[in-house]
Amino acid sequence: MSDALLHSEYLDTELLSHLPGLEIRARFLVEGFLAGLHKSPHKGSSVEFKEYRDYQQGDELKLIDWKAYARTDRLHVKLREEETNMRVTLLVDKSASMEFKGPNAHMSKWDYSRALAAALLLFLHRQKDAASLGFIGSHFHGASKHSANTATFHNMMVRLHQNADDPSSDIAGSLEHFLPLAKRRSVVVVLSDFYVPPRDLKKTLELLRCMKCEVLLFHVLDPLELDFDFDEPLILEGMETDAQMMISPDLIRKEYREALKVHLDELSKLCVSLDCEHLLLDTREPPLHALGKYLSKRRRAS
Amino acid sequence: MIQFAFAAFMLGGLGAAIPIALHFLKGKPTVVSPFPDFMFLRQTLIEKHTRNKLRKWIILILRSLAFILLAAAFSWPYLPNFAKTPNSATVVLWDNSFSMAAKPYFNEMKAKALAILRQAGPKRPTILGLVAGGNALWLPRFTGKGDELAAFLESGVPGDGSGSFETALREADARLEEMPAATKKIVIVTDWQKLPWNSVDFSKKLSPGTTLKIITPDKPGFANVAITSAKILTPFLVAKRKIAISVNITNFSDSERQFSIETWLNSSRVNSEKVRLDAKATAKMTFFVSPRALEPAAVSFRLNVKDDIAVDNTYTLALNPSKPPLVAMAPSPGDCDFLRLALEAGAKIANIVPANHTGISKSKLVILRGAPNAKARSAAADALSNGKNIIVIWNPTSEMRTLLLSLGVASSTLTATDEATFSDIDFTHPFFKVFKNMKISPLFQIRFYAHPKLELPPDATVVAKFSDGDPAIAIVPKDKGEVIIIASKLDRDSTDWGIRPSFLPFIRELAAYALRSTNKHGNQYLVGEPVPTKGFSSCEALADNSFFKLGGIFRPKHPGAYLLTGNGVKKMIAVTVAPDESPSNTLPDDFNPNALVSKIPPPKTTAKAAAFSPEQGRTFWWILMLLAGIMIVSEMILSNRTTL
Repeated sequence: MSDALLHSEYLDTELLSHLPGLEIRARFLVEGFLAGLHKSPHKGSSVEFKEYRDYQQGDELKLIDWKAYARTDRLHVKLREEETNMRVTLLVDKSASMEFKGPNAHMSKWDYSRALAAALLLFLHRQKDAASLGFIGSHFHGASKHSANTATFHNMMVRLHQNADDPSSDIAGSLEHFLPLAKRRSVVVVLSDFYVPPRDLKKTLELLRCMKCEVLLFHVLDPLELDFDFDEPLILEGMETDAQMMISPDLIRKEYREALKVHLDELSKLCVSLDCEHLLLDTREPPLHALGKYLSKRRRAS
Repeated sequence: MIQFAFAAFMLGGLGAAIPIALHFLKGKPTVVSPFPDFMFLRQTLIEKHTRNKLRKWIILILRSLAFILLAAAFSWPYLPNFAKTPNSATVVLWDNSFSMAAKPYFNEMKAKALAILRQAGPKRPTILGLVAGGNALWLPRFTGKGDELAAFLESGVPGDGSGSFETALREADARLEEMPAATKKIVIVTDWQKLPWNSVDFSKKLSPGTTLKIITPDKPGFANVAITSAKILTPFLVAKRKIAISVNITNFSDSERQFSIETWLNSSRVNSEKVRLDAKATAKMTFFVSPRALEPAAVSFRLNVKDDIAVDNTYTLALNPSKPPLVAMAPSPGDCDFLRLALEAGAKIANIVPANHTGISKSKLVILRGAPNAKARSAAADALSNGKNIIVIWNPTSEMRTLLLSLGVASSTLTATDEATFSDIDFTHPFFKVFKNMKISPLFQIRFYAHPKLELPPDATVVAKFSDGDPAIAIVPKDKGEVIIIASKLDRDSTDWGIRPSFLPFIRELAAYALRSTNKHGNQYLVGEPVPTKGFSSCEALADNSFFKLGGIFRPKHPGAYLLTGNGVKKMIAVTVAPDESPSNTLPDDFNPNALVSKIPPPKTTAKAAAFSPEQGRTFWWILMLLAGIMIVSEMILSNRTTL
């Protein structure tokens, strides 16, 4: 088993939740992701030649410089300069519902989203891509300017150190307010639990697509939200409202799951119709494939 | 109207309060959990809420109903055979003693009983008890079906037992007390014979409100000749030897009767004799049988007489081989042992063994004479503590004096040589009874040349005295046994009794008394009496050659001989009818059975559970259990995680 596989196997949310500090979590995620990229089809998206290095077992044959081999009788691999012309906006939902953490999850949706956002920022910083970080929730909380420099990166990391304390959620409204700040041909990554009817997002997403933006919706949900595995009858208390609801889980579980599935299907269909990406993330699962999704988008954009 | 056999179980219905209490106590869950958003729950719950609430109420009803149905099922609800509270309840007691089968009135009594029984109806439930001995055979429950009552009567009569109304009357009273009827009546159908009423305790009244009615024959009384008793006189020790049997026959009728009596040994008629008996006279006759083999046999005597009751014209005796019992006897101190001769002469009635420690411990009777040593005295003391009897033939030795002193009897040396005779004999005592009317060789002519003076303890009984007033024969109770002391050496130097004809029968009667069995039955039982069957597995009724297995208590219902078999051992028992039933012995005209009726006014009728038969409630029981099961299953399906 390669190191990459090992790394991805053990890089689960439990381990991630035990790492101290957001930066360390982000670094750990990115290192793991990069190790996993060894076999990734997405490698080598840049075009500028940087330098040669000796061929190593595992390198793709197409990267071998055969002319150099003819000259020197040694196998060399061409390394290319990374591209730095991508502008990526990360919008993280900080509504109170993101603080939810079920008994089967190791971290809350907020912690999961922050770790993922930090990892993406670190990754972008390493790739010299210009990144911007913004928060949405009850309203649009603004976003930093796109920048690839280290000081901005650190500022963005600092901004991630906050709580999800928006008392209500208005994702559609927040995204609408973000629209004026959106850059053409940029990548917009939204991390949220998307408690919003998909039709409310349609207009905003259409406008983003009109601006040639690539849109990625990272839909972060807790296992309890997905499965609704409450055992005994109980009273549920809303995290964004004071409302309480007395429920008998067994009686409504099926209907709840069906309603959730309809919601997810509608959101997925909307994304497919607009050529956006919708990725459902279970906080039990390692967040690596979210990074893979992002990279896929970036390659497409390039 | 549904009634409950075990109404107390209805208290279990209070269990229905449990789900109701839970419903109110646990109506709301206490666990509160945060949840991100109600976006999906709201639309789901709006649909579900009403349905869930309804379901909870249904579950509550199902649970409560399940408790109530189970309680009702355990209370055994049933519909009595009568639709409404009956006007009157009647207990009919049929005197099932064999005297009821007397020809003059049996059919009349049965017709009268059937007439009463056929009056039964839904409003007049009736129960019938066939009284035999102390017990009654009851119809399981009160019924309004006359045919059922009549069939029960036909199946049970005539019985061969004896009658006694005390237990049956009290049981009838108890059964009536359970009936929620306005009037309660006990009807006794009997032949006006005195016997069944002898046991009735007239100081104990029936329950207030119960009336008593006696149905009797128009002309009570009957003419009867019966064998009232028979006794085997000779032990059955050897085959082909004559065994004497005495038979008592009584003519209870008011006129002279001539008839024949047949003697049967097993299935063979041995003898037939003509008999003439005056009115109210008794004949004591002796018959002989000679069984060919030393095996259990049945001897029966049959009267060929025209009388009103047939069942007591036959009397059966069980003849089982026996061995002479072991008697431990010390050797004779004199030259002629009259005692041994008397015990062993003719039909040997005892196997004599030495009176040492082993002999005494194995024997059934101990005869001590001469000078019993310390070991013999010790063994004799053990024998007494084990319930055996001892005969002590006095002897002027220090050992004998020691023995008598240990029994609390002080004995002097021989008195003056003046001759003495018996002067005072208790002829009611068993071993002198046979001499009461004897003319030959009177006991009072026996001469005693010398005899000791005995000082007896206060609890001793003197059976015979010498002419000088000294005790001659005395019985001293000791531990569980008795010591019979004869104040004579019984040798030719002391008395001439040994050569007189009365000596042999006296010694034999004395031995028979000392060897008497504590078993009051022997092999003879009355109809209905329990027969011990330990060690026997099967039984053959010789009357009809039917076989049946023995298990539990065996109470023969009919007279005759029964051969018990088990583990290679056979034993004959004989069953006879109760002789008390044979005489007509009617009640006096002023006999008033209504003395049993209470004068206290009856209490107001309260609805009590009628006598219950599980068959009555079975249908309801299954229905209720089925419904309870349905309730429980439905509850399990519906209650899947509700908030109740």
